[in-house]
Amino acid sequence: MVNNVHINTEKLNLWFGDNHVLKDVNIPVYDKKVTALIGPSGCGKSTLLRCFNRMNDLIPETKITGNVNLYKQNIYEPKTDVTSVRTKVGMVFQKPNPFPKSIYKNAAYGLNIHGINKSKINEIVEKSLRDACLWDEVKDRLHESAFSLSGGQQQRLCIARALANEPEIILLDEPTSALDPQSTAKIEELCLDLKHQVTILIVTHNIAQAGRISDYTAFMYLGELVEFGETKKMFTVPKDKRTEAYLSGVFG
Amino acid sequence: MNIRKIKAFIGVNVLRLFIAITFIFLLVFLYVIFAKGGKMISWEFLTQSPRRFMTEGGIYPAIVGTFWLTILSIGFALPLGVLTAIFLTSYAKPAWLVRIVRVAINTLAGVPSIIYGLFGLTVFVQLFKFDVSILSGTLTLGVLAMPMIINASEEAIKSVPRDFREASLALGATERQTILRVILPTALPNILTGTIISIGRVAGETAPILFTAATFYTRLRPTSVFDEVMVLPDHIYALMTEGSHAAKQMPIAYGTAVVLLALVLFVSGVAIIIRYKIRKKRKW
Repeated sequence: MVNNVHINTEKLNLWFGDNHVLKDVNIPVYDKKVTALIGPSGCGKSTLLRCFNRMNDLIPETKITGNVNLYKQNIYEPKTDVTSVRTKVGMVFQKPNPFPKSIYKNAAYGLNIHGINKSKINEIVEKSLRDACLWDEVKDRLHESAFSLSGGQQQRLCIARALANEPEIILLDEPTSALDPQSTAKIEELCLDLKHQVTILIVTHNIAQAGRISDYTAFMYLGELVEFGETKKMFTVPKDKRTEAYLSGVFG
Repeated sequence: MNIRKIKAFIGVNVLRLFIAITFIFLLVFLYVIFAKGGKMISWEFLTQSPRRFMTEGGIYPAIVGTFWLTILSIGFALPLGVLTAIFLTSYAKPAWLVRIVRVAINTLAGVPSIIYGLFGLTVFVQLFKFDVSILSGTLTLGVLAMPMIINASEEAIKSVPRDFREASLALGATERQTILRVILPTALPNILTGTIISIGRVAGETAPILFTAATFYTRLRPTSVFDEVMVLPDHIYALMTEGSHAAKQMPIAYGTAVVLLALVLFVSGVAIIIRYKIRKKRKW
């Protein structure tokens, strides 16, 4: 099976002020696969993730050079419509962050802001909640506060909210680090289901998690992409000594 | 161990004492005002105009005047203040401009209210030729309330978790949609708290409207914003400092104070109810 590159970076460099956070990163993300970004804290993996939907734009004094190509189109070109990039490339954050609104309004938020027809919204909300494996738990209480849900349910609501935009890619920034093992298992299962419809890029601290769900893994260290490859291969025969050390728990 | 218990006992009771003192001041305050002014309150007092050089009759025109000045000046300062706060928190660039605006706001917040009166006189009454009128008074009070509302709104907007903003932007929302749909609704109850405080302040201010809106005596209800009006705080001031029947005027002054307190409580009460409704509706 041939893998198509969905989004990739070319010579991506990023500075926060004087701090050189990403150094010449070249990484491909393949279509409808799960790619995991691993590495010790502060290695730049979350920053790299946030380059794919231009969330780093929000941080003042950020400087970026190089390209991030979504289907060969550089999203950092000046004429790019950032909102359309962020609609195509959805994101789920580390801490569940539903809006202080009802479950329904959370799931419908992206549709509302894009002016989707009201009659279609119901349909899409239900589909996204089903896709996020949350529908059965919330179908009778759609108009209750999103804050009445458990942490794991809130995180799945955030995934549903991202899915409602019908994105091509979903970025997950350590989505399970604030959750209990059961909720974590559900979200991992969800990733495996979802990769049939969307490309998934996930940052994780948990090496075992990367091993369980990803097709490809990228190991980052001190702002550099040290190694990229098929997860199975990398976990059995890492090419780089640093990767080997990290995977075997020497540092991290 | 006994020493520690004794220390704790003394500490707690000293705190209780201070609370009691504060409370006593409040009680004495209310007692003085109500004991001297309470018996003045009657239907006639609330619905009639003053008669016989303000020694008889009621204070109806002053109630109407204060009511309109308060509502209109908050109606003017609230949108401007909230919009300024949005600019300062979400759009403001470059940094030096923001710093200057912020210094200006904080300076304005510290200006004595009589200076606002002179400012209003010079700018609205004389320069814009609005004359001594509801309009001049409204604008002067609005300028006085604005720094308070800006500061309260800015704090309210800043206290909205950054997560909400990021979540909205990451879903492809524009900055404007994020502010209107997520940030403002979340910040609204705290903005209203700031507004409630400014309502009390604005309704009770005497000096800013002394030269810009208040008149010593009028029987007429205002028919437009270009009319001058009687207002409660300035009416108290006039009763206590002018006229030649001090003995008859004094009880009316206290009666007016009771009405002013009640009016402030009423307007704030309405705002508190609105805030309560919003908080209840919000799915936090």
